[in-house]
Amino acid sequence: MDNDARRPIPHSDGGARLPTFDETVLIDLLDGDEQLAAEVLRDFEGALQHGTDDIESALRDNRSGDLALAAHKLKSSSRTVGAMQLGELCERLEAGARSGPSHSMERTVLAVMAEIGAVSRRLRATGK
Amino acid sequence: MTDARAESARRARSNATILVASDAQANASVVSKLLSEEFDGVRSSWVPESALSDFEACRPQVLVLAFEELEKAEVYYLGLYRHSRAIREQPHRTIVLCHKDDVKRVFELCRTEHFDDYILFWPMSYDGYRVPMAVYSALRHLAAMQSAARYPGDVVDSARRLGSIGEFIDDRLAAGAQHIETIRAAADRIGKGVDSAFDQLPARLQAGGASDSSSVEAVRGELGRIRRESVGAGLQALSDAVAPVRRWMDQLQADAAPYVQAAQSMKSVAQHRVHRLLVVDDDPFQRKLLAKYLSGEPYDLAFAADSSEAFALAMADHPDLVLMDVVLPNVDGLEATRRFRAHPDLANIPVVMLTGQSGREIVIESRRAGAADFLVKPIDRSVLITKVREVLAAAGPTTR
Repeated sequence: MDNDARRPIPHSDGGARLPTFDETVLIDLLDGDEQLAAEVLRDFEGALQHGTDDIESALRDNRSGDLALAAHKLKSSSRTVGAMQLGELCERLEAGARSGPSHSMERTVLAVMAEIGAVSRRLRATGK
Repeated sequence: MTDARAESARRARSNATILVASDAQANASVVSKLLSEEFDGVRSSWVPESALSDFEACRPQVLVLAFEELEKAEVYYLGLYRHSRAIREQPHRTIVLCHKDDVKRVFELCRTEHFDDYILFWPMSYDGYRVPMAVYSALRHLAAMQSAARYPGDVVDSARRLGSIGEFIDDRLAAGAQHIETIRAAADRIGKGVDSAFDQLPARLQAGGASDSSSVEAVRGELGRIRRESVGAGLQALSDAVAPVRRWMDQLQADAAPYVQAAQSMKSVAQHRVHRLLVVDDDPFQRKLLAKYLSGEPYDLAFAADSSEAFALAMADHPDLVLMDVVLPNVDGLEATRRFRAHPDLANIPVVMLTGQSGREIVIESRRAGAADFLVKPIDRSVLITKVREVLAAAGPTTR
């Protein structure tokens, strides 16, 4: 078994903000296939909406396990398309959901929702 | 699953060959037009004299019998079975378009598997989609049969033939050994003959009254006699003994041809076999992404959203490789992998973990669970393709 040796996933040090949307991430993953990248970004818009719905639903019903799963999925898909800050926030939300409710998690949830909005606006602005 | 079905339907529309057979051009045209709106490969045949050649040329997967009289459809199809070689070689399904008066008879013919399906069509139909839907069903049935045939007839035949190759080789080697013994005996006789001739040389020279002056001539003469009678005759005998060996070798090559052909046939089947991959991820985005990544590769893809669905699909379809997300609802990917390893029917299927973590701990846990390898998300397309090829190559053909 060998490790998948690739560039590391950038993580925030807690203060520095990662890019809302880094277009090069997805293009690199797809070996420069811009047409496929456009298709994937269209799928991501759907994933963004579903992720939002799942997070809101889990919060409403106080289902921390489902909240962690929703955050985990959105983390993966965000990092795939280059929505790095959203990926980072979802990782924090996932960790918080698994460890139990806390005041800081409320701030994280708000930050996630705000970042989802920012990513959506960026996608619309770039026409994807 | 939805993506795979849509792709299957698209392939059916573009790749399927459908032959509409009739005794009337007008009827053939009506049905062909209906089907051409859905499928690209629709052909029609209505000239009786061309019925056989039309079928042989077309080799359809679906044969639609658009005869207004059922008896004519039966005669047509019976004629194909009597005279067409392709009818037995080409897997196909038959759909009979019938009149309401013939329903009972055509039902009986379908029940006894003379035909595969029928549609109430003449004198007119209110359901324009019935015929193309029946063609879709026929194509799915064919695809299912081909997919389920792990050991198609030609592979079984080839395997049976190759199974007796040991006896074939023993038998031919025994014949070869006899020929070699014949040659050895002939060479032995030559040697003894020459030895004897040289042993007798002095006595023959003395008996010939050779004097000093004529002794050289006498010796030359005797050597010439030895060369002709002992050596020359012996070499001729050796040459005669080799001839059967040549014939044996030629015969061996001819007798081995069916075995060689069987081996090549099996090799060809193995080379063209399409690997089946099972992707297990509860995230629809990731499933779509992996489907897009692998769309240009020669794999059949199946998808499962959790370990239960994965287990059911793996038991039914026995994939060649599983791409398993670590984080799954209910039973996680590591536990699912352990369960795969523990099941005798699934233990040989290699599992590649898909994880968002790249640390040492997940590598160790994956190895302990029995995973063959892992990929870190976000997944690079070329890395995925390379990894899948490597794991499949290392695994070889999977067996139950």
